[in-house]
Formats: sequence, structure tokens, C-alpha cells
Amino acid sequence: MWRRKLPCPRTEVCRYRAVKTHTALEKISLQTPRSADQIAADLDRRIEAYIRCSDPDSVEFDQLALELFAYQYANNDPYRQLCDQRGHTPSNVDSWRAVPALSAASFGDARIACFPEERTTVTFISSGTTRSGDPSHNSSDRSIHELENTKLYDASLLAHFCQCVIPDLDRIRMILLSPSFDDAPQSSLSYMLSKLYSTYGNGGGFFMREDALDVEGIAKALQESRERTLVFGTAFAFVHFLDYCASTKLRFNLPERSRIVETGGFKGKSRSVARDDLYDALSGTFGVSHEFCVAEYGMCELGSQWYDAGLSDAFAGRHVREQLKVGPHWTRTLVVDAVTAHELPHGSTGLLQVFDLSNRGSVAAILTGDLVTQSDEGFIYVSRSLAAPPKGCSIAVDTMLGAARD
Amino acid sequence: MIDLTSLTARQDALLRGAAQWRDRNSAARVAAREALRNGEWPPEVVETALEGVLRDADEQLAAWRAPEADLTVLAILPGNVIGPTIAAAYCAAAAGSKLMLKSSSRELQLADILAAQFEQLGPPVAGTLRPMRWSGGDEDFEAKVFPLAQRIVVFGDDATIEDVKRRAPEGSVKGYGSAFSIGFVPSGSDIGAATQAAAFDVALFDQRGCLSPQTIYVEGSDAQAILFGHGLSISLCKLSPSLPRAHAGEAEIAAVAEFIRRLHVRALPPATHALGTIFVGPDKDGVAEFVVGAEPFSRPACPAFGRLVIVKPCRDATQAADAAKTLGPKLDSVGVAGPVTPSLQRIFMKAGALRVCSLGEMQRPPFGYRPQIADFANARVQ
Repeated sequence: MWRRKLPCPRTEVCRYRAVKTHTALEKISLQTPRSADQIAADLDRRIEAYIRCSDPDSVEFDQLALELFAYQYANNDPYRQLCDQRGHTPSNVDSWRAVPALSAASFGDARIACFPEERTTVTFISSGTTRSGDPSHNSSDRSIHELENTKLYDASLLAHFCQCVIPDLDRIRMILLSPSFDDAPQSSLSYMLSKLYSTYGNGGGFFMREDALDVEGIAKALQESRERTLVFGTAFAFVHFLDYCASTKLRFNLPERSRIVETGGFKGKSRSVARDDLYDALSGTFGVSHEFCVAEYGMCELGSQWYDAGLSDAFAGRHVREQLKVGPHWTRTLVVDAVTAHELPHGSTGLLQVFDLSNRGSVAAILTGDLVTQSDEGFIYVSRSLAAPPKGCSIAVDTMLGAARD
Repeated sequence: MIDLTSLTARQDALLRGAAQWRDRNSAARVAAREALRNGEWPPEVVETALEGVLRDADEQLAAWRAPEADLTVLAILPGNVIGPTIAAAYCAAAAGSKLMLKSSSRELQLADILAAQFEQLGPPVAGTLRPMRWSGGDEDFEAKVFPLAQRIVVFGDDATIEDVKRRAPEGSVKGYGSAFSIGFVPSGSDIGAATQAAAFDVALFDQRGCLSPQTIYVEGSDAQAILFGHGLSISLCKLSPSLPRAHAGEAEIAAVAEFIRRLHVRALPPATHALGTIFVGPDKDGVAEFVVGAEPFSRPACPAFGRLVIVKPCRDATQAADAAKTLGPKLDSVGVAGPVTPSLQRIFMKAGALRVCSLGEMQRPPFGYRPQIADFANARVQ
């Protein structure tokens, strides 16, 4: 069993303990009237503390969730309209489960933010997984997620990465099959990897520029790896690199306890590879054992990420839960019916709905377009939703929008 | 040099054949009705489609004056609507070409019925139509079939057309791919009549073709757009018994649900006259029969299919046309409420529309609109 040498620097004693549940509106009315900015600052502070908390309390989560809902309802016009349309408002919602969820695709339909545009510090634009039928909101028809600040985003991504990917280390050599945030300033993945690199990186670097993968640079960096190494990239980038390795008969033998994190799936690209085949190839080509090859699940519309439990299980000496994605304690997940959006019985397969406290500036309750099967400890990804465009003469919406832009 | 004897004989045969398709009791109509009974579309939709496809064909069939093309043409048919199968057969025969008719896996019998009808019509059309079936995308089989044709007319999504073009001789493929249509309601229109007409265009084939309006622009204020949306939802309700919605598959049901969820963000706020802005039809086999949403003015929305309509206010026809223009070459038809004035015709054609017609006529294109007789008369794409 491997253990990290030092505790993560994030541990902080939780300061909030709720004793009674209220509706979100009651919570607001119990407090002295405050401005939206004051409420936002207070929420940021308290959510950050909750993220850093080593002993999270579910009652406290509920309290924060309801206060966050009330804040977002009051300060986010499109979201308020959605809540009003569905008849679920802070006056009648008393649990995070009942908070109306916004479709992730709606980030392409309207500006989903609780603050004025001029206060946006970072803007993430999706890589196109979120299908939109309406080209009206933004020119590229992709989801746009604006952040007022990156405090919660950073706290969230660092803490959960630390737990799931490097529970045994403070720093790790990183070979990143992605552009850096400087090169891709609208990519949430690039932001995330740049933040991880600057915080936990120890050599290596980014190996994609202007959409071109520096395969020779990656090979050289891998060959030079003398210590535990993390290789992190999109599935599509890995496939390209594996093709290169196959054509040049390259194989590597990374130091023991090196690890691979793959993200993003294939997102409708022309070539896709079955997950097991990809992981076999990754393991074989990089010389990394299977349980050290994990997937990350995230999207530009969410501040938090989910990782396969395999790595942390291996380090904890537990039975490895294959393909089970675990989320951080400041999130909750539901599996809901793709049509009614009602919660499904435990173990069912349906759409993943997330409540993410780190989404303070937009909407915390997000309905994704991904089908998953939920278990006690997390979920297993199944596929993109069936609501993807069916075939038909007039249905190639994305194709059409692409053509219209040309 | 035109062989007038042969041309006249061909035209006579085709005019007799077209008349049979307009006759509800003809052998061809009865056979088609039976063949399509348990297919994708409800009987009422089948009947409406068969009734309309050659309703105005006589004039063009009689007017075609060109030497017999004597080409062998392969037509790859769509599965989403019924009309092109019959239209392709008559266009090819009018041009004097032999036709290999490749059916969609979703509808396999109409080609056989047409071939039988051509046999019954006699020379010179007898024997010119050969129904074909294979699994689309079977490259080995298609490698043998494509060289037999001097011309290929293909319906389908853009990827299918590009795929066929890649493998067929250069310049031999005429494609009818994805396209989108919109509606426009000028101020002062008779809203009752306009909503009835628009409901027909939306309901026939549940928007699976290219000619249904997906976005309808209403000249005037938000409130006028909302009122039109309300009227359209009533008209769609009333039309449902005579033109029922087809059975929706799992993917379509999920897509409709997602469309409604997204409308909760996109729709206009409820109007002061207390009308909502999202009108959801009654449930039919687990899916809403229709959804109409009123949204603020913006570019056209193209929300999949299944009687999903976005209504948007606009300042005037020019603003609607500017919005439609953003669809680029994918803009097909514009249906306008009331008469198509020369001014409206000019504004929308300038925006790139291929056709400007009255609402209610969008799903009844003239014979020779898609495909055209000329598609089967020339070996090269014109």
C-alpha cells in the first residue's frame, strides 16, 4: 500500500453545522438583508471552506445547496425563468434533489451567469460535445461558461485531483497531451491542466500546439522519464499518439507507479476506439499497469471533475472498482429519466444530473447529456444520451450549422 | 433530334400513370396504401402524401421536350418522406432514362409498385424501372452498381451524399441533402388561416423532410408571436386526428424532452395577457404530439424533428430574411402567410431561398422541384 508523504495542504476544520432544514427562501429571510455581492462573497468563502473540509457534513451540504439555489435564482435571469416555468422556486424547494436542473446544452442558449458580463475573468467554451439546435446565442454554437473568479474552480479541481490521481505524492512529472491555457485560453481542460501543472507538476510539460500533437516531443519526454510520471490527455490525442507509436514501433516502460489519465471520449470524431482496446494499448505502449490507467469525467459547464476510482483504490489497498467514477464531496449526483427528468431507482441507467457547489457563479444543478448507471459510491459512464440528433434529412443540425458558418 | 412519336407515347403513358396516382381507387394507389399500411407513417399521412405527389405533374410531363436521354440513372431514395420515390420514377421516365431505384430500408415496397405500374402502362415506359435493394453503405456492392449508372441522384444526409460522391465518377452525382425551411407571417395576416396552414406544413411527415418550417417569424411584437404560437398549437391539436403524429422512437422522445427543457431557458417570458410561451401538445405514446415555443428574435432555430416549432417575433420581412440568410445554402423554402407578394418573393429569394410559397403549400412542392426531370436527362451535374 502506498501512502502520500505529507497531508494535502487543503485540510481545514469545517465551521458550519446546520441543525434544521429550511426552504431556500426561509434561509434567506432568516438573514439580515445583504447585497448580491455580499452573498456571493460569503458563499464563495463558505463553499471553499467546505471543499477544503476533511470531515464534510451532509446537512451542511444541504444548507449550502439551498442558499446557493436562492442566490442563483435571484441573480441569474434565464435560470429564474426556468425555475418559474417549472414551478420550483426557493419558496418550495427544501432539498438539493429538488433544485431545478439546467440542461448543460443551455449554456449555449443564453448567458448563464449570476454576475454582470464585465466581471467575467475566465470564459470557457466547450469543445462541442453539447449539441445545440440554435445558432442564435453564440457564433460557434458551443456552451459558454463564464467564471467571475477561479477560487472555487481551483480549489475544487486541485483537491479532487490530489485525492484521486496523486494520493501518494505532492508533485509528479506531467506529460500533457493538450495545449496549455496560454495556447488555448477558452479551454476548460487546458485551464485545468495548466493549474494542475503549476501546482503539482514536476517537469514534463504540454505537448500540443495549434491543434498539432508533438508526437516526437512526447516520445522523447517519455523516454527521459526517470521518476513516476503522469500522462494526461484526451482519448483522441492518445489515439493519435498510439498510431504514431505503432507506426514507429515505439514502446515505453515508464517508472513504476506512473499513471495515465484519459478524458473526453471521442465526441463524435470520425474514429473511435473501444475503451478496453484503448486501455490495453495505453497499458502496453506506456508500460503502465491497468489500474493506473483512469478516466476523468468533466465538462466546461461544471467546476468539478470525476475520476475512475481505480487509482485511489489501488493506493488505499482496496478492491479496485473498475470504471466507477467518484466525485468530490461538494457534489451530488442523481440518475434521472431522459424524458421526464424524474429520479430513477438506484442502479438504473439514465441521464446524469449533478449538483456542484463549485458552480457558484452560474447554476449548480446541471442535467448532463450523458447516460450513466449510478451505484452507491459513484456512477459508471454508459454513453452519450439518445437525445443526440436522430438521423433524417433535416436533422444534421451540427452539420448544417457548420455549413452555415462556412 | 426529338423522336416525337416516342416522346408522345412516353408522355401518354406517364399522363395515364399520373392520373392513376391521383385516383384513390386505382390499382397503384390501393397497392401503395396496402404496402405502406404498417410502415412508418399513419394511413392518413400516407394518403395525403400519395394524393399530393403528382397532383400537378401533367403540365410538366406534357411540356418536356428533349431527345430521349437514354441514360441509366441510379436513384438512392430517402427514408424520411414518401414523395421522392414516385417523383423520381416519373422524372426519369419523362427524361427517357432507365432508372435503378434503390429503396431506403425503411420503405421497400413502393419501388416494386411503381415498376409494376410501368409494366401495366406498357411501352415505352415498361421495363425502364428496376427496383434495387441493398444495405446502404455496402461499399463492395456499391462498387459493382455505381459503374452501371451514368448518373446518380441521391437523397439523404450530407455525410451520405459526400460518401457517394467520393466513390462515384466525378460530376455524376446530384445530391439532395439536409436543408431547412422557415415561415413568415406578415402583420395583418388572418391568424386563424395562417396557423391552420402552418400546422399542415408542420404536421405532414412530422418535419422529417426539408420543407417543413422549423422556425416561423411573426412580424410585430413579442405578444403577436406568442398569440400566433398559441393559435398554432390549437391548429396542431385540431389537425391531429386527420394527420396523426407517427410513432416516436426512444431517441426522438428523448430529443423532444430535451427540447422542452431548453425552451424553459430560451422562451420569451409569459406575456401580460397571461398566455404561456411554451405550448406542449397532449401526450401520444409517451411523447408530446407537438411543442411550440415562442422565443425572442434571433437566427432560425433548427430543433430536430417531431412537430417542434419555434415562433419568433421580427420587425419586418427584411429582418426575417436577414435571419434566414444565416442558414446559407441550407435554406430551402420560405412559407408566407397569405399571398406571396412580389416584394416578399424578392426579399426571401435574395436571402437565398430556393422557393417562396404560401404557408400550407410548403409540403406540396410542385412536381419537378425535388428531384427535377433534368436530373435524369443529363449525365453530368448541371
